[in-house]
Amino acid sequence: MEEKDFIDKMDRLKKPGFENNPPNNMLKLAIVNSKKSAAMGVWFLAVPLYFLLMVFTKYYFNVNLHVIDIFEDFIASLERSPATKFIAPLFFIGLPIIGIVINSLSIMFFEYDKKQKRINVSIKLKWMNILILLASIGIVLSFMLYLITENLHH
Amino acid sequence: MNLRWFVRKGFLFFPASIIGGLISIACLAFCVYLFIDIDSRSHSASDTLINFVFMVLLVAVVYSIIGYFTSDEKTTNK
Repeated sequence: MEEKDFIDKMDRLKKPGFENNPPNNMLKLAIVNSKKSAAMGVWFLAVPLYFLLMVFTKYYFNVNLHVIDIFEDFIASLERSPATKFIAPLFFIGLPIIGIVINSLSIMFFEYDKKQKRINVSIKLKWMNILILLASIGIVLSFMLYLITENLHH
Repeated sequence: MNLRWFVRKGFLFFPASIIGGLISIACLAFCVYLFIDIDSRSHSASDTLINFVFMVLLVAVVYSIIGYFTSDEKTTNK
């Protein structure tokens, strides 16, 4: 009799479900891989950083390595043809912008709360990604500022 | 589509299949061609190197883009 009571009691027990999980244990997935994005971000920054390094050596240290002239010739040769006209803006602004997007997505986690109808966004502190993100933002802003000031003068 | 042509180690993408190897060899061969071409037109060693580094960076960016899309790496939140 006692055993039957025990089995009945066990049958009546509520089974644990997914809905009882506390919110902090919810699975959060990043949209892109963070280490891969960091690697890509570094390569996307390489060309504009090389260009900026050469600009600094010319104007701040007065060491003219003729890189600016080489860049100007190279960009002029690209702009002559409509098929290659997009390459220079792509390398100096487009790729750092893509770097910003992929590095942001790799450290941000999105989670939709159905009950409260809200999207929770959390940012994981991955310093390499954040550093590359900030460097990319800096480069894009500096090139944008240069373009704005250059167009204001002409 | 999960391609495994490259594997990432740090910031570099290394070939992990025959196609990846062929792409790497093609990039290296193109860099050698660029060096010879730039060297034939430049006036000094620094002129050659500065031009060559810039062109190698462009090739490396394109190579890394291929590596990024063709290296199978799981997305984790670790």
